[in-house]
Amino acid sequence: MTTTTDHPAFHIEGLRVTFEAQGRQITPLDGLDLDVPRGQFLCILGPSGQGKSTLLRTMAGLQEASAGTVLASGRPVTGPDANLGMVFQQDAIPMWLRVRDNIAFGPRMRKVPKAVYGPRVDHYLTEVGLGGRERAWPKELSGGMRKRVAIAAVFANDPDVLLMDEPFGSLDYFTRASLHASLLELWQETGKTIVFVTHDVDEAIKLADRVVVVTEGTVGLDVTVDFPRPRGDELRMNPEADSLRTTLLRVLESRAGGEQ
Amino acid sequence: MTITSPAPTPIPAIDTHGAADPRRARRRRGVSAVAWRLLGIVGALGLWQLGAVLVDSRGVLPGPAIVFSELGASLLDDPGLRYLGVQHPGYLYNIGWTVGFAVVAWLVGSALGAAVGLISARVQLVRNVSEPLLFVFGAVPALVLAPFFLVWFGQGWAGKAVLVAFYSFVTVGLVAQSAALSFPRASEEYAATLGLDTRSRFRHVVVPGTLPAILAGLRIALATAIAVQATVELLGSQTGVGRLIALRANQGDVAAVLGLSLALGLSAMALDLLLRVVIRRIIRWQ
Repeated sequence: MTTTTDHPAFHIEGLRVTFEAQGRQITPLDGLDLDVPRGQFLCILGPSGQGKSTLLRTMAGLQEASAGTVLASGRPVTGPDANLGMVFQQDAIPMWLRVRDNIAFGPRMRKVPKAVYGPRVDHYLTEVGLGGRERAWPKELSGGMRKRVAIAAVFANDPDVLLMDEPFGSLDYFTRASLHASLLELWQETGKTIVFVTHDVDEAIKLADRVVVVTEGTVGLDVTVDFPRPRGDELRMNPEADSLRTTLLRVLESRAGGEQ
Repeated sequence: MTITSPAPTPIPAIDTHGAADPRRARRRRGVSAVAWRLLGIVGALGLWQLGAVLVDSRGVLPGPAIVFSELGASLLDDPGLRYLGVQHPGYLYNIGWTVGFAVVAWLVGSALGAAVGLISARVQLVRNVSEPLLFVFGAVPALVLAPFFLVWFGQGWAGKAVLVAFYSFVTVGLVAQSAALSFPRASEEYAATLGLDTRSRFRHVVVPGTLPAILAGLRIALATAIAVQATVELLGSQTGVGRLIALRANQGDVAAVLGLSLALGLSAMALDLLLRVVIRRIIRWQ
């Protein structure tokens, strides 16, 4: 008998996505194949407009595939699902819920018993460093803290996979570094699969087990990143990391040039 | 390469005037706002008095003292109006009548408007049906529509209530629809990825998320409701401020007309202040 745990977190084959934008037909993804094993931290890199966010949205069930197969834990992705949690680039958390209610929002709405989600909410509240701010309104928090709320809320909802669309793109260096540490801690603790879209090569090298560069609608480069963890600033001095950075930047640069 | 950091520049002390204590600063701002408002009222009264002195005709522009004394004298009863056949001639009773009816009709119309506006933003069919109604009839002045409503529903309270409710419906409906249409897609998608179905997303995300805009629409609709109620009373009614204004205008009693209009305006302002307090409480997260 096969169970969902026998399947990879994602199996994508021949994915094609076509939609209409500003009156013209565009095809950001065309013939993309990708397998994401369970528990992997995958970063998707790519120049703007080459399909990385479309890929993530399709994996989340927010964008319909025009052709091909997208399986999450062996099941076809037909729409958004509590097992496919997502953290967005912009603030998407309900601003009318206090921090704790925000983190409990998903399980409470899905009628998970309070005895089950309550301790989980408390745990993630502390894990992301929001202990003592349970009663705060999101407007009273900084952008980085609101991102912590979103991350805690998704973890508290206990999905199989976390999909993150440039979640730290608008934050300053130190806030990002702190959020990287929190995210990696939660990932290591839970063993969940994370698919993280970014345009920042250093962020990808710091976080990922594997980096995939999406260019011209398909996987342009697929590299394993096996530097020991934790990866601090010393990674900048590592010649192997430097070589990987150069390779990734070259691929991105050539595609970004082509885009123009 | 040598990197040197400049010597730290001393930061001058800033007199924050109590900014360190936000509650005190807020109170100070509140007192200042009230002082400016009072100053505005006193200034307007002064200009009015000056105008009255210059015009020097009670029949054209009576001064504030005359208007307020007229208002005070007729607040509970007015023998002149009783003589003209008004059953309840006291100004207070009629102001209460006009404002009370307007508020009830506003509540009903606004609730319907918010529901239709929000649903129309999500269901194309409802949008197709409701949009022409909201735009076309919403653009027609109350004075034009009122005679039709009085003919269809009679001169009693029903016709006026339907008209006032209709204008509240249009105002709040348009605001709710536009708030729901411009509601950030990411917020709804986030809820979807947490496992909320369409109905839950509407109830627990779209409705609370658009509430600030809808509540702002309610304030506009309340002022409109009181104005429309008084306007239809002018055209045909047994009771209400509009009816009294019509009677006094026929007599050329400018002081009474001004007093009644002012009293109605002040009542609307008081209601708006009350509504603002309630709104602030509801959307304290903003």
